[in-house]
Amino acid sequence: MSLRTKIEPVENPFKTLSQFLLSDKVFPYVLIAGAGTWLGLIYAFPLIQTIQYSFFEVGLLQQSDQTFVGLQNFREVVNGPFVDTISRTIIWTFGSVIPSILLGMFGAILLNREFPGRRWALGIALVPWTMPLAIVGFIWVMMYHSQIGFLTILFEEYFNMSVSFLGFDNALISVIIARIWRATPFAMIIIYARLQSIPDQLYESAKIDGAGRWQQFRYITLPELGRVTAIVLIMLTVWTTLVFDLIWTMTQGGPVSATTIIPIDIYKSVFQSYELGMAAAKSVVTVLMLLVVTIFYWRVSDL
Amino acid sequence: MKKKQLNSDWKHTILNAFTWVALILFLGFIIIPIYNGFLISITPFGRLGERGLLPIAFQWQNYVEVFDAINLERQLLNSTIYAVGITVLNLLVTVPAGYALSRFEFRGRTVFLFTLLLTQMFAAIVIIPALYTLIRSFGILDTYASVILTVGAVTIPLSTFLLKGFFDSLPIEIEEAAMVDGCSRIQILRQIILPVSLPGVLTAATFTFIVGFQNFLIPLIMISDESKLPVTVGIFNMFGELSPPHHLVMAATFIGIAPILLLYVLAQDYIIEGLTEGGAKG
Repeated sequence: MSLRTKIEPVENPFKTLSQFLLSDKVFPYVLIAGAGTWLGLIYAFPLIQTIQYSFFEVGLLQQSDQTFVGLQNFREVVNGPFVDTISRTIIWTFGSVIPSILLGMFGAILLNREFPGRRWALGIALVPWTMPLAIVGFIWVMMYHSQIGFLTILFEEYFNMSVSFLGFDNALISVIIARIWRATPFAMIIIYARLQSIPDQLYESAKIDGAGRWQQFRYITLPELGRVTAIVLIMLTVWTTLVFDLIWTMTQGGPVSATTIIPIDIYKSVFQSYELGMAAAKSVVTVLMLLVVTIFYWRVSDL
Repeated sequence: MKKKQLNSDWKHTILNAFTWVALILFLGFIIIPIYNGFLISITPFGRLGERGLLPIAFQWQNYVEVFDAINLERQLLNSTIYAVGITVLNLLVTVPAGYALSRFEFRGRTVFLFTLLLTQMFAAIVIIPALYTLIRSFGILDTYASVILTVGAVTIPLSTFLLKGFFDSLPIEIEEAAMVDGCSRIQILRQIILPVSLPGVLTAATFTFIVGFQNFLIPLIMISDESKLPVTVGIFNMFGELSPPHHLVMAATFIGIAPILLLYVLAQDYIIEGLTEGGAKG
């Protein structure tokens, strides 16, 4: 990996600045300096400050006016309505991630066979992924709209049922379906790529051994998909937990708090009740929960 | 023997038919919401109430009218400014970073990789409490810089990973030979690496542009000046009106996603390769 061994020793590495910067020890740091500084400023620094805020009572408008409150924010977080937010978020996340993966796998297997127009089908199936989440929100509100929504019309005219899709009882499942629509293409294309890389010989030799279609799927395809499915599962779990745009454009967390998941809750704490300390405590709890998932990802991925 | 053959033929036909039905259902699930939005976008406002599942009118005029209703051309320009600014600045730091991660072992490499992964996983929402006050303390709230600086950072991990993967796929032998021949690091970068890294850079650029164009949360909180809003927030504001003109909202939506759809059609191969290579935010 390293070029170090191949390099002629430089006589005096500190002769000039440029020589110093290009020297073996320093050069990699020069290369990552830009990205490192940028991330440090915009990500690491606010993250540390968010942790700090979580122990203080801080207002949005005068954040210089801070009072140390110890663990009080966390006590309020674990005893307050945020607990409901967490359980709602768990339903939201797994309710959309698992169907997305199953549907994505289903689509990937369908598209993995040769047929005329396959490239077109693949191209169309990926379109939801290219759309901004906010726009996916607009498009799905028009599916659910109580007067002119496609699904409303479909249910009324063909099944004689009047369903209030974005009403209190159904709102969470409705936003989950919109999320499935957006996440399925992502799961599909990654699983599809993995399927394409399974060598044909594996199937050929299984056929010779007399394996049927189901057996080929069960004993060749599924095991090959194991690792990639785990990766998609972890990524979608973390990203879905932190989805803001889709829900904000569809329901803004309502009706009441029926679709208030963690990101909506944090946003409201900051910009509607101006409680930075509480918002920060919610963030810290969320990061700790997702960190476990992320570390697991770190171990399965080959970074 | 013959009967068995026939039986298997039948099975094959049924399986084939099943596959086609399944495929049509799957694509239907993807297409119907887009089709529905499109129908609304070409329906006159007064007739929205009488619509069914098929088109009742083709009022293309809506696509012109929407430019009078909101400042859509300005918002499209803004979204493009954000996306281009983010992409250019992003590539300036991620091309070297991706190269460093691919070619060098250095102390702190693992820490840097893990930081990248963390920032790729954790959307900006978790640091919003302090991020907002930070940007405000810079005094750049409500400027293009606020969005470019923030969303630019968000896109660093993805394009660094994509570029690292790309550089990993380039054989290192050429660089080693050049080193032996006495080429300097700068010469190697300029004359050997840069010329062949165009495909990798284009993939990273495409993804960064799309993420930059898609952004909603950051401009929502940082931009209040109407003339600096991107398309996503602009349409959201129109949607939030008391009785939103749904036909125009949908027309704006389709105009708003046209640039990325076009990019997608043009760069589909890069995108599919990039998705499978690095995994993009979904």
